[in-house]
Amino acid sequence: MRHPRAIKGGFTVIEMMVVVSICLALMLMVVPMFQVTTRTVQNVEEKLSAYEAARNILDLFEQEVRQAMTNERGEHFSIKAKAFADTDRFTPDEDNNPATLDPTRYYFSRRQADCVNTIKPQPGSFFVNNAAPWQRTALVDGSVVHPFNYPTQFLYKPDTHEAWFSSIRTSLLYQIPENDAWQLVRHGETTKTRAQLLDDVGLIETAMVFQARNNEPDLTPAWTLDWPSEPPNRFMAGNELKQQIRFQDWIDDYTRKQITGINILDLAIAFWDDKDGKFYDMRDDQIVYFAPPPRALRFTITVCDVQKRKRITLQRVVQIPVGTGDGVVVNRIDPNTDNDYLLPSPHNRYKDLNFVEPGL
Amino acid sequence: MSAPRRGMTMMELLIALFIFLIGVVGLVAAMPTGVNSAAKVVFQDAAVHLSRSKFAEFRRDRVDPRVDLKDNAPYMDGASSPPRRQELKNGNPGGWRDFAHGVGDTYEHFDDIERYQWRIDQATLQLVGLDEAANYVPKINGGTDQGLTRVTIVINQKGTKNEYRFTQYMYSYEK
Repeated sequence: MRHPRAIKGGFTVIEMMVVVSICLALMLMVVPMFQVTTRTVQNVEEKLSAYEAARNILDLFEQEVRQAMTNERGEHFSIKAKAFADTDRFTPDEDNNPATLDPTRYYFSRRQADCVNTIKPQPGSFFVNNAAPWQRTALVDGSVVHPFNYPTQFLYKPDTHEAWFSSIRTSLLYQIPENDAWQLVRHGETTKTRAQLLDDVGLIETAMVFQARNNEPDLTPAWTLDWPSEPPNRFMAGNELKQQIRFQDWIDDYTRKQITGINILDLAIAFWDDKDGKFYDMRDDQIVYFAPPPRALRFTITVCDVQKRKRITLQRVVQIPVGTGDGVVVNRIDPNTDNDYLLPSPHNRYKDLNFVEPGL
Repeated sequence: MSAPRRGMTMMELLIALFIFLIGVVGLVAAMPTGVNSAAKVVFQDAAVHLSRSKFAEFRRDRVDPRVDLKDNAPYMDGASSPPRRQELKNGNPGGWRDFAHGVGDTYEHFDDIERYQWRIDQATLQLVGLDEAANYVPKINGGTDQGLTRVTIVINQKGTKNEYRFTQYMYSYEK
């Protein structure tokens, strides 16, 4: 008598082995295809996220620098150029010497950390309300007035300013300070040193810094009637916004703003020379004061994410609405002298950054 | 008593595997479509940057759009004086122009810039206000010329039909 299960006619061992072999062969064919496709999708997604960050950065920079203005106190529009050698293995060392600056921009271990400083208007206009006399002006959100009101009694109306100094740079040039815990602008993060940033370039971030500019006498310590916002104090070489200090007290909430926090590797700012019809990158360790501003800037940024998976370099031309200058910088490539600064204004003058900010 | 159950034959099994294979192949074939879509988004992003830069260049150079942005105008295709500020046509059908990316050129360091080309849609390079309804811009004092010109930049990915169009209204600058 046959075994009761034999009449079901199931697979034989041979059949099973054939089927399993065919399945295995199919899987072996399909898996690499999936792997390649998955890697490609991942690659494109990483690229997409880098593009998204770059778009945000360039949009921010563009709308910020297009607000640059000139005023009757004298124009102020300056570009700094500084580069550092990073020690991160993510970026190849072109000359195999971590101590020296690679000559080629953007791809190798040379990190470009330029900066543009401008003055921009106070975004808002005033209306009169029915409060106490000293409170009778207030800001209309979203409106733009100027030029130029001259708000006095700053201590009573701390959110009204004549204008703002604006500085666009990365945290590699000027590190973002740790702030008072109760202000939480950076949520109490400790300041990362430049050495830390150069060791891990994924930590470098954009830094847009704004400082109120007021027609106010300095009332401390003892009614000295020093006018810190007046030229030449604010417009002398080296008096633009530099290293931030920690927020000191409540008034800093009204007089200082910062937009930071998007990862960036390089920021290079070129100016338009209208005579030659081309953009010129800045020479390293140079600062140029333009008077009047050039017609256009070109931002070149390299962006990567914190994980340092993908890196892209993009450029954007930005027209400066108040840019009426020819952008011609005399002795632009002369590395040794800065005596053109002594020429009378209006003039595009440059100085050696090491002279203006020793040890930067 | 129930009838004895019969197992699958080899032929049935092979047919089942064949159907399974068709399904897998279909799945794999669909994945490049997703990749292509993502690549198109990358191109779209790049095109946004490039178009904004081109409009900024036109404003920087204080162009009179209806005069200077015409094909064969000195600004677009002139060889020398007044200084040519835009790239010449690259010879590809359709009147495309490369983005200048040689050493020292404006777009020297833009990633994959050699894959993109641009042109101005000459057909749309026209006065705004001629057709009030179509342009959403009212006539002023019964006139038609407000000095606004519609400028459309087309950016194309070379070797493909992928292209994006960006339009701005531009005033004529006094030079």
